[in-house]
Amino acid sequence: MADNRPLSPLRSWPRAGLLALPIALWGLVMMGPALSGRDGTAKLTAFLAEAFMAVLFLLMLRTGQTHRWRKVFFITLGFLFPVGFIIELVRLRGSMSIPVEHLIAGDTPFCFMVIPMTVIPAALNRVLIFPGSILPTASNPRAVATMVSLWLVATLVLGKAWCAYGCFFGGLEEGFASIRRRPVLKRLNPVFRYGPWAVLVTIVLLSAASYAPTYCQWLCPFKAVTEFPEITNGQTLLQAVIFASLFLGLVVILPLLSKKRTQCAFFCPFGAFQSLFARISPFRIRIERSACKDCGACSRACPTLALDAGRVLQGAPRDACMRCGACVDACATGAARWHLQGTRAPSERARLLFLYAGWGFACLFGGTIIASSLASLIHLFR
Amino acid sequence: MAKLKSWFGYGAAVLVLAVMFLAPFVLFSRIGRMVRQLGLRPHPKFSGGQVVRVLDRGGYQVAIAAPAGPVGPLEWGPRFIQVSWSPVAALPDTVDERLDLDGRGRPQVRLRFQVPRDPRQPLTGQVEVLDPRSRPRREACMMPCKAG
Repeated sequence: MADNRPLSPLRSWPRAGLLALPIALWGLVMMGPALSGRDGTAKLTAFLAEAFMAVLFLLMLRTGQTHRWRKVFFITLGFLFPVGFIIELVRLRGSMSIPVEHLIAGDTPFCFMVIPMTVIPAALNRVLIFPGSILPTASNPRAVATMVSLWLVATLVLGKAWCAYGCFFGGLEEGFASIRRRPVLKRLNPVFRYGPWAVLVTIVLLSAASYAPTYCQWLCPFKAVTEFPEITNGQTLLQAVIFASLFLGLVVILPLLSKKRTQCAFFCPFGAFQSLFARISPFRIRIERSACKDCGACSRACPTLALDAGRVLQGAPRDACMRCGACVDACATGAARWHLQGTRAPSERARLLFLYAGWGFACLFGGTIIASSLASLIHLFR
Repeated sequence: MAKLKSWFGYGAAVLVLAVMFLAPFVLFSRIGRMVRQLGLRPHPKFSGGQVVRVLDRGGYQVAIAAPAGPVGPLEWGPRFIQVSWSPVAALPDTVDERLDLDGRGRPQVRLRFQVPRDPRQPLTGQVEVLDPRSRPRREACMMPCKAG
């Protein structure tokens, strides 16, 4: 017997506050080092970030809407991360470009995007095809071991939901996708959905053959707002032009016109890689056919094209679903709902359990990045 | 059967929450240790490779790494040898050395550079080839100049 109770009930403030308390305390623990440190600016920004995350979680519980408040966090993270990162790079190196000596010294921060490309060379020769260090150092705290630990925990906890609660790049395109009220590009060819898989297979094979992080060297749109090889010759100039073009096209212009996360939906190989682990998480989105009016609101709201008329009929989105909750928020009849695999748990309970894990990770990772980026920004103007 | 599935569902949810909230206290350090035990090492083309010989110059040392070059089937590019001088504080204002890179008793290159006292200053110099089988790489003159 399906549970047809109305979804996302509005909770009273005291009840929502009580349910939000564990996350507020968790956020305090995560911000603990900054809050107990000597740097006044870091204390202030940690407090602000903690309050920001706790208030958004409270609003999620109070209103029953997920995507609306998650988006605020995610866009903030997406825009603050590059700002903090660039400020840090300029402070350390005087430039966003990576000089050769920093490459050789292993001072390049490890990015989770590299993980799929490293697997085959690491398995065959125990060689890491990235100019970073294995263990954290004073000049490179984002070492391989640190980032792989984070990724593994994120994958176990979130699976594909990493793309909506963990990724520090996705917020940029979500921000640009949120600017217009209505899309200009209403129809996007669904065949592009296979793009991330094509890019993933290509870069994994090329990286295994060339022992180089092909995606980082040639295709990563976010190099345009983080770091890139110093432009010293025609090749590095071409790389910089590709990075800037992909960034403008996939992260700025297309999301602006289509209101979709086009880089994630059509290009990001890491998103495809995370889809492989989508079923680890017991939390799912389901479409209850008996309540569905086939209005298409959920498909239109889905930022990654994981839902369309066919998938609505099947009652579940594709593995590209990142549990952002946009479809559930958009559904007027309560047909789109959160689901805990194997159970008949009411949607709101499944959502609450998922959010404790998802928002817990968001506080641990994104919340601390927001705090440190804000601190870097304030230091810049003082 | 439905009850069993339900137990599994809730059990999985509890497990996910346990992983999440234990991660910063237990899991990150354990996983980090496991990654370290994998014995991975950065590709020598990035790291310069393992040091095979250290020449003592009385006050400072010159470390010569093993030749680094292509490993993968579609990898190309010249092999190179990384040479590092340390500690920086003990180096003379100008370093001018003929180096026997392969240890066969005959120098293959002559290296000359001014030692920048500010680590942020670029390190530039000259690499003169004494053996026709070698040729200098641009990076040969641009090693990091770290304090110590």
